[in-house]
Order: sequence, then C-alpha cells, then structure tokens
Amino acid sequence: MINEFEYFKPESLEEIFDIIENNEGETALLAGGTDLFVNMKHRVKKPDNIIDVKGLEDFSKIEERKDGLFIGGTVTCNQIIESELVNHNYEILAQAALEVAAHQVRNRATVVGNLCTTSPGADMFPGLLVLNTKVLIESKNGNREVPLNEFATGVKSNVLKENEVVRGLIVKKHADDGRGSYIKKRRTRGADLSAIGVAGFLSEEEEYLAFGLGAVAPTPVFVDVSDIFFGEGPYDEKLEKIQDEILENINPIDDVRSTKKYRKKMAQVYTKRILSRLWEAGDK
Amino acid sequence: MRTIELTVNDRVHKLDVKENDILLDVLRKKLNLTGAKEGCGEGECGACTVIMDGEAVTSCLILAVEADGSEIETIEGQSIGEEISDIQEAFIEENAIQCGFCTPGMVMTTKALLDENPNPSDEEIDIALSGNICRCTGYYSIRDAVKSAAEKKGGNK
Repeated sequence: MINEFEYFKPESLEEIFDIIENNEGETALLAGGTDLFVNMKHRVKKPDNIIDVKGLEDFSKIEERKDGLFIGGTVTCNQIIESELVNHNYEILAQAALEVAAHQVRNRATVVGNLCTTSPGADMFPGLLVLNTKVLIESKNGNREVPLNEFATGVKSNVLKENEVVRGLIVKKHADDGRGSYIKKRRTRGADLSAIGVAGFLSEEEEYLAFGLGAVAPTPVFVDVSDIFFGEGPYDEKLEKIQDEILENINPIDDVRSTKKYRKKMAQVYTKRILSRLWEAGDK
Repeated sequence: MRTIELTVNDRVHKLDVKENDILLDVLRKKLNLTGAKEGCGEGECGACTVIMDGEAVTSCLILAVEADGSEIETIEGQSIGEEISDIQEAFIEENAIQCGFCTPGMVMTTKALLDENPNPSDEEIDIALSGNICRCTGYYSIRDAVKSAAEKKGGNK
C-alpha cells in the first residue's frame, strides 16, 4: 500500500506550475512511475501531490528539430527502441534503451525519468552524454538548458529545483560518419542494474571521440578524449592514454553488483573494445 | 475517490477508486480477476503482467487512475468457457507450466509479443520475456511454448 496523495493530470505547463504553487507539501512528477512507485512502496518517498505529466502533448514527441533530436519528457524506452529516427541517426540510444530493466518496464519507463532519478548506473546517461545532450528545463520563471554533463550533482540528486519540470532533451546531431556503442555489464539478464556501463562515440569528420561511463562514480562520467585520439602517435599508445584518462576520471566503489577493482578493470576493457569496434566501423 | 472507466477483456467497467489504488489491486480485488499475481511488487518478476492499450505492462507499478480510459486484457480474457487460447494450449503441450504462479504473466507477455511480431526469433522471445521470472519450470520449455504458439497462430513456419 502506498501513501495517500492528491493526483493531478494537467494538460499544460502553466497548469503544472499552478498546481505546484497552490498545493502544500511534497510534490512528485509522474511519468512512467517505475521508480516513483517502487520508492513509495518502500516509503522512501511519500509525496502529498502527484502530477502526472502524461497529459502534455509536447512531452510525448520524438522529432528532429533544428538543433538536434527532441525527446519529450514522457517518451518511453521502448518508443526509443522502436523509433526509426533514433535507429537511423542515434542508434546508440536504442542500444542503451534496450538495456534498461525488462520489456514490460520499458513500456512505461521514460528516458527523461531515467535521467531524473539520477542513479549512478542509469543506462540512458552514458549514450546521451557522448552525444552531447541538453536538458530542457521549464519553470514559472522561464526556461533554461543544462548540458547533461552538468545535470547530475550526486547519487540520485540533480540540478532540478522543486518548481522545475523537464520538458525534454535535445540530442546533438553529429556528422554522418559518427557512430556509437554502449556495453553494459550485469549479473543476470533481465531487470538487473548495471555493474558498469560504457558508451563511446567517434566521428573522424568532427575529430571527436568521447566516452560516457555509468556505475563507476557518484554521478555518470563524461570523458572527452578527442585531443588524445586525434593527436600524434600510434593507435596502441593512444588507447593506453585514453584508458589512463578514463581511470583518472572514475572513482568506483565496492557494492552488491561489483567490486571497485573489477569496475576499474572493466572500464579499461570496455573502452578498448568499444574503441576498436568504432574504429573498425569507420572508412579508413 | 474518483470514478474511472476501464475496458477489461472487452467489458466496460465504471469504478470508484482511490488515488493511491494500484491497478493490479483493482483488477484482483474489485473485479475479482485474480489471474495476474503480485510477486515482487516492484516490476521485476512480471507475474502481474497485463496488456494495456496493446502493450505488456507490470500492473503493480501503475495507478488505477493512470489507467482511466484504457483497454486492458488479462489472462481471464484468453479463454471462453472451456475453450483456451493457442498460447495457453502451447504452454500446456510444451510443459511450460509447473506451479503456475508466473504463467498468467508469461502468457500475457507472449500475447503482446505475438500480436506485434508473429514470427519472433529466439533472441526476440528472450528479450520480450526477460522480465518474466519463473522459479520452477525452466526457461527452455517456455521459449518452446512461445514458438509453438506462434506456429499455431500461423507464424513461425
């Protein structure tokens, strides 16, 4: 049994802000509910008001906009997996979405919700980080855009204030030769969280190579290694420097899913594997 | 309290529910449809799977008020009297049932899969069913049952 609350299903942002302003107590935004209701069942969260954002039309869109791919606040992981637009230009996001929980949960769980829960191992972070995603945040006082790399502030905490709502994301459209890959390590197939997740993205045309890593620090980690990879030196030497750079930027812990030592090792292994995969897929 | 309308197995129900009522509990306690089970209550075991507007979902993580206006299919809608569905028949024939606790969820996930993809590969079956946990039958017979159900329905030839 979860606690009692007031339930609202507004159809506009203005209505959301009015509800937040006119109702006392803690307010939770509801998209897929796959994290919120688990937290409520565990009494970790006891909101007085729940605002279901599935009534907002703009929130359900996946579309190409002038500055990149827009993913609305209520787009589910399975909608990302099935989207032709995503599979055509942003395939790494479909790969990552397929790693979130299991099929039924992915029919409800949203990409934006995955980011807003801000778990260190959230599967949608690494891929969106390497694609240089911006978070579009709305409040009564106006809107702001936060680079995803600055969104997470700690374990399950982020820059969002109480009166703010994430309308969606803008994922940067990279050069046509750009390609990415995401690998997740987990104990069992199905609904297990990641022991480590690593995403990489490479474009020779942009001279851009970056990695995103989950479950290796209090917040997901973004490492831009373009300078190393497009600098002087043989491939193996550059790979070693990139692995060192990644180790410098992560700070994993021992927990039920893995150990600090194993996570460090796997960060290196997956970096090597992803880079080789991306390198081989290019026109050389 | 608020009044919601649910179409469950083609029958329309107007129901008074509390804001914090979970869909699974409403199906089980108000409509007496006890096929969907509560296993983990956290969306990990799949025993509570029902089909909502064409998609397999874990009904333990959905508010009844969120489901207002939706069409829901449960295991009870898969048979008419003594006549069972192709999927149910395939599960029996392939011995994909032991204690039966997970079976309603397995069958509903299978139905959603085959409705969308009548010819699933082994990998597609595994992906679709990876959110349904079984503690006694073993997964190979369940995969065989899905394949056999696909054949009965005219796919997977």
